[in-house]
Amino acid sequence: MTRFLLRRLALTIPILIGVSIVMFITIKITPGDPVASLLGPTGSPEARVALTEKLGLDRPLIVQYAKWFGNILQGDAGISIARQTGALGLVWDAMQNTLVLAGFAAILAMVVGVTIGLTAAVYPDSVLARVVSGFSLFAISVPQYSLALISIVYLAANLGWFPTGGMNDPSGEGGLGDLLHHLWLPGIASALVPLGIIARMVRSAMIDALNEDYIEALRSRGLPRSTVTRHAFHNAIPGILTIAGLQAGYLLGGVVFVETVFSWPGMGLLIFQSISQRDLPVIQAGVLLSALAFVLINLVVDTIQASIDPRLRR
Amino acid sequence: MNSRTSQLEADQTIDLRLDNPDDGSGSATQDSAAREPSQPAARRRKMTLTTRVSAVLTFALFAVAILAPIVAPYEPDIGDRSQRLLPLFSGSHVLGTDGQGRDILSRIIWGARPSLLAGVVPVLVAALVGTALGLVAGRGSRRVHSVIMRVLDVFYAFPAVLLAIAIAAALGSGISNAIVALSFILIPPVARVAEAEVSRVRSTDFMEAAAVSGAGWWSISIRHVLPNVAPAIVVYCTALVGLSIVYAAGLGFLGLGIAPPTAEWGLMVNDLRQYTFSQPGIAVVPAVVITIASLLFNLLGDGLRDWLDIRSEAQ
Amino acid sequence: MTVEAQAELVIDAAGETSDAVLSVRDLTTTFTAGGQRIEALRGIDLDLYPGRVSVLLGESGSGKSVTARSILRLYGASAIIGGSAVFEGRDLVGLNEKEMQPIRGSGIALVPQDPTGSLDPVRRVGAQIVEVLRLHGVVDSKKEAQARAEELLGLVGLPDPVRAARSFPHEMSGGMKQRVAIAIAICCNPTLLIADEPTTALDVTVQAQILDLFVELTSSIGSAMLMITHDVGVAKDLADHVSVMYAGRIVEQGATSTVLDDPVHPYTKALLAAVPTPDVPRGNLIPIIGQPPVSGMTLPGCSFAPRCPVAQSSCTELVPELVSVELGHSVACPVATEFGAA
Ligand SMILES: Nc1ncnc2c1ncn2[C@@H]1O[C@H](COP(=O)(O)OP(=O)(O)OP(=O)(O)O)[C@@H](O)[C@H]1O
Ligand SMILES: [Mg+2]
Repeated sequence: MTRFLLRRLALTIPILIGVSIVMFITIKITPGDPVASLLGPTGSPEARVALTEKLGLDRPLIVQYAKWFGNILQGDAGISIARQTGALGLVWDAMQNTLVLAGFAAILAMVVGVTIGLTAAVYPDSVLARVVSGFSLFAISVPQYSLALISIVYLAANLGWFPTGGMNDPSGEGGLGDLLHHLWLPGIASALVPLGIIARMVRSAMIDALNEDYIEALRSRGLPRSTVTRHAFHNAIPGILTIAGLQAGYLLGGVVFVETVFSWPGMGLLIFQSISQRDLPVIQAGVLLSALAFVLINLVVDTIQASIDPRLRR
Repeated sequence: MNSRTSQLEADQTIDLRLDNPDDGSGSATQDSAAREPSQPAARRRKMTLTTRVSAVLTFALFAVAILAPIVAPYEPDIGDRSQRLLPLFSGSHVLGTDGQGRDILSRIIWGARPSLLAGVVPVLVAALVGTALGLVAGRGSRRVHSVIMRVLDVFYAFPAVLLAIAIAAALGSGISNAIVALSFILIPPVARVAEAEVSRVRSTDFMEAAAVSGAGWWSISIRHVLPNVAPAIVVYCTALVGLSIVYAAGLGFLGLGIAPPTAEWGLMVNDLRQYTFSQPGIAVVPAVVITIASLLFNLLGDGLRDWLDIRSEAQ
Repeated sequence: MTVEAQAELVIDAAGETSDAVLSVRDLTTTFTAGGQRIEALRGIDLDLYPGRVSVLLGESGSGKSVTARSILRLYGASAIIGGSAVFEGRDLVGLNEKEMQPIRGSGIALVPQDPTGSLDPVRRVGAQIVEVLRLHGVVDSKKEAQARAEELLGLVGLPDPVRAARSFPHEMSGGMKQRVAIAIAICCNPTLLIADEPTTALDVTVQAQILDLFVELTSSIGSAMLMITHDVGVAKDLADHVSVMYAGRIVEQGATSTVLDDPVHPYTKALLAAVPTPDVPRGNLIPIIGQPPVSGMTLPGCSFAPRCPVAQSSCTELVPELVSVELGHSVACPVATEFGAA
């Protein structure tokens, strides 16, 4: 297991370097002259040269990348243009609220998705089984902003069941119950699509697992149906986790829309605001941090998989 | 007999026979080992009603976009101040009017143009580039294969939407930049599907036969591999348009697409959401339209996959 | 075979089935999946006795595995099962899933054909034995179950039982996995052990060891054993009693010596002529001409008639019944028995 972990970590390093290169490229493709925009129209040619040198923009690209990467490692991803503070710090603070939302959505999607998928697999003739296969097509089609808007209109505005936005009651005295009350709608809007995909995946993985040869062998030993199902589920988990891990990327991307619609004070809302302010360092820091989080989540998923399925440990 | 003719028409309009023409259905007597594994049996499968309907509706969608000047009842960008925020089904404004008194239905119809454009073009680009990458990876040396696949892995490390946002934001807003950004995030999945398909046909008998016959790399790729991998890629890309439309509207929503006042679905979502409480009916119209358009392409892709009997784990 | 055993067999065949562990009569299994009826079993009669090895011999597709699974009622609604299979006074054909569960594994145990397909790949081998032991209440505590599991793994000949118990199936060879499958099958001292071609997935050197192990174990726990095989050699070496199966029916059955040394049914004769033995060199083998009937196709009369060298026109009209030709030996072929008896 330790060997597996070390090897898996080693595989992560080139990916992270690749991610940083892609991010660096997105910075470099920005049209316009960064020196000119920093100096403004009044800058003298001498000042231009001096600033170019100071920023290292006269150096080869590879040196610029190395310097930029070094800065990132020290937690410096540039200064927010709109807020004049470190972009990474800003994003880091917002990320915590995002993780609350995304984590809640992930739990919701996993718990409900697995339950529905299992039921559909064990009772293949049920109405639920048919709904699951039909629903997943709808799930991959519906954008989060549509879901968010529709739920805000019908569940918050019309019925008044839930608050229409924000993370806490303005009084700040709400505590955990208040947070949960605010979480439901954005949580469901984020979770619905992954939930549908997970449900479908659980269903097909379970049907495959229940068709394996050893299932009949287990039945021939007198194991009751519930125990046999448990064996099959144990075998299906790694496949389910792979899909669930990919949904993390969907959740992290979707928060930009869900947080915007629900004014949830997270990284997504920050990115939305930064787009209209053309605050590129904040957008880049946000995307970089999300990619890092996504890579870490998949690392954890792989580790859990290996701890469940011994064949993956080699 | 009427339904029969329409069925025939539907069959002809969405014929995906991309395999080489000399592989006719009467060639069953040929040496079966060296015959290319195309889909002669699949052609006889019946296309489901859902697939036919979604095909027809998809064409209708494109037709409406192209014929926008004719079919739109009002000017999309000119509002009538006295007619602001009319609810759904109010007289001649079937889908109501927005905050500037513009007819929402007309804006949806005109908005279909940039929305479909930004949805379809990235998929076309990704289909071309992705297939080329998949072909090179699937048929290249082990070294070439692993370099290409590792680079694709890097793109998979990003949540797709966020990478598109980073690229589009860096390039600046505008529909062409949005298309560039979306093309980038759609290339990796297409390339993966193409690579898997190419690997699948690589080991088959007819490939060996073609190699023995002394045909060159490009000749084999174009004449033998491509016709066999194309159906799966076309089907995958059809469904991918659904996703691409959602992403394109998402960039529009964030202000990274076309600039107002031009009508575009994503922009409309963001514009109308301020009336969530005052006029909830109209607030969700563009969101629903995007969902339906995306669903159409997904249904079509799914139906085509069943019809052509393509087994693919493409998701 | 001892004289006593011979004598016992004689009594058995005379219709005395009281001491049989399992008594199968006219067992039929019909699959109805996909709108097609496949008559896999068309009337099977079998009697299995404690301490005795019966072999079910037949070529691929004759319905041997279906027989085993039908007895254990492993098919769901996809199969219609008829006839009777009386096990310890209860007809298994009439039991429901709940009533079958305690019988499976503890009353009747099955060793499947492919050892890899018989073990859960993500559970440790020891845990899989413990699970069955505890399920059937053979042991009182988890600790005892663990100890018993290791003891069983030693009993089936695994060199390091403690380590074996901690292994995952993929860490074992095919032969080791089959030993584990045997350990699970015997862990509850079943009254009847059914082994469905337990060695076909293994290489030849291991095959003999595993078969020996079977014989040793059945005699030591005194259970009845139904060994399924397509290998005449295996039948000769192990069996007390042989049932020859063709296209879902038993065509000949009796004591091994009579059936295999002195076959009556044309199919049995053809089968034996197609197998190399020390006295018949490979060059003199006579292959059976033609193909067995395609499953799903129901022929009138005897299923072997199209391939039979002695077939007469009447053979395609009536389904032949098993008729006793001598004590403890029955044959389903009116043509052969007429001349044989004469
Ligand atoms: N679940 C099923 N559904 C439909 N037909 C089946 C099913 N199981 C078996 N059959 C059919 O029943 C016939 C007998 O199959 P069975 O597996 O018993 O053969 P066998 O004698 O065990 O052969 P082998 O030596 O190859 O294992 C076959 O023709 C098979 O097609
Ligand atoms: Mg079998």
